[in-house]
Amino acid sequence: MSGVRSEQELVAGLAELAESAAPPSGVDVCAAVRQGRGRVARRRMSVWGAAAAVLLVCSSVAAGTGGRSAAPVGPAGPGAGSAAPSVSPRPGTPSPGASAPGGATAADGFAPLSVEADFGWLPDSMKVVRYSSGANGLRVQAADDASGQGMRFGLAVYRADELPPVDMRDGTERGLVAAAPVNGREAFWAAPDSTVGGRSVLRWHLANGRWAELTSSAVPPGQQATLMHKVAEKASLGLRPVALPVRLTGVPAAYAVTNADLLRPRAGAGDWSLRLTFSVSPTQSFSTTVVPLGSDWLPRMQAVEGTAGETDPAACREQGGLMVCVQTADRSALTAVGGPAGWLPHVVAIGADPAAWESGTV
Amino acid sequence: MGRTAGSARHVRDAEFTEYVASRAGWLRKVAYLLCSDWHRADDLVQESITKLYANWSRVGQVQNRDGYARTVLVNTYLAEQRSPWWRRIRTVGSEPDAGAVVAADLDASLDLRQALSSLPPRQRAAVVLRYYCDLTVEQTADVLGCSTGNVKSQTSRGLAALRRRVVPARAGGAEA
Repeated sequence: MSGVRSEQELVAGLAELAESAAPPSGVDVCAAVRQGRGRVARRRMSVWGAAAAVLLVCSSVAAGTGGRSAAPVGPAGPGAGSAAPSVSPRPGTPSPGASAPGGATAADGFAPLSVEADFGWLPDSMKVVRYSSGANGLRVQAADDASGQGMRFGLAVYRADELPPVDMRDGTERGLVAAAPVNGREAFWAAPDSTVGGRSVLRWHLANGRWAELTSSAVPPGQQATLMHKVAEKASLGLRPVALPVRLTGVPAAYAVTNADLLRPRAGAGDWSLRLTFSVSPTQSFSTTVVPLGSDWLPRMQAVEGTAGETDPAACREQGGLMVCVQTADRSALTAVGGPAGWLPHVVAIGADPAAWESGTV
Repeated sequence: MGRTAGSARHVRDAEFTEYVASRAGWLRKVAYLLCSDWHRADDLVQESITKLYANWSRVGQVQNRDGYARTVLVNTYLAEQRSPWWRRIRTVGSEPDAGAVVAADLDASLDLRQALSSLPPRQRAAVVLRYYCDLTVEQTADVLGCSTGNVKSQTSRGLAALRRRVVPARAGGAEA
């Protein structure tokens, strides 16, 4: 690709760009199913709620009270109610129960990113791991290269009140194929013979009643059962903070980490990136991205103050071998700390070497 | 009845999972070309496939399932760009003087990514749909919900901007 002098060159350039080195995919099909189900349920409830409201109004009219009923026709059903979304505390919330004004700060050392499981063993070819938390839950993934195209593993633990979805194809239930026990606990293959990318899903029952799930893609034929069981049996389970290249200090109590995403080499040196998204209020948020200096994964987006074209020099800062950037379009989200420039000192660099990273407390 | 509904849901889940497993990589690449950031590309795809799931019964009725998924992705991207969070975000150095070019000795893919990032969202979407997804002007207009004339002008402006900002590396700009 030498330029975009012709349309053919643009076609070639875009194809080349799309195939460029990429972090392992964070896309989670199971999370989409879970969230999609929730949306469908809410939509149905909303329809029923609206229908109930209409029925109530009609009943009032029929009863002669009309629309001037002393009792206002309020929201009906779960789909109605306050339009203001709430921000639920997550493991990354700085200070539980904090109701102090925005200027109050939480204790230092809290863990912005926690997971409920981690790999204890992986095939040697696995080079990259990714930890993420957010709307899609807590996830840990491993891949054999940064492109995310080769062999991959994913590890997750279902909530105590959550049952794993059952895989049914052609009307046949495929979710309960018995597998060899994992550490003595009953286990099942949920997708033992998928023809799509060689995907396998192994689920096993934990002693606390919850289900753990290990997914894999592109594992060489004939090795799936052996590798999956070894990875599952060596997995470390339980909520734990993930070691990060930065430490957050003096974070206002009102700031909650709603999404965290760390991509790092499994061992040794290599490219990595961290992104933390903070919710300040139901309508305000900002993100902080941290990468080692010189990384090609640095997002090209930075905050702009005011009108287009006026970049904010305070949006990024080099610190201890790291590039720390803050992205926000709403300055007021950072008012409590004095804007992007005021926020950056709250992100203290530990270093680019993953071996030296620190984990806070959950 | 509950059992029937449960079975239907399982079948639906299986179809959806199989479809997404086979298309997630492709959607991710399209998303990356739209937003120039792999993290955001994942977020876009995640949100798009969640929407797909919530509307899977409708998806099952369309002939071109891939086209539907692509449209959801592009609309999700454009909607995000319209949201307050992204409205004032611009690419670093994305407002070069007219005629300015990206340094020719940079990697060409990086140049193109930066140049793409500098395009307004709809221009970028039009360029990606036309030149990466290989859609016709009419198909692109369908996805973007606009006229064919609008697609032509968006594409033309986008292409012109890319030509200004990405130059042949070997020529150091002399051939541009």
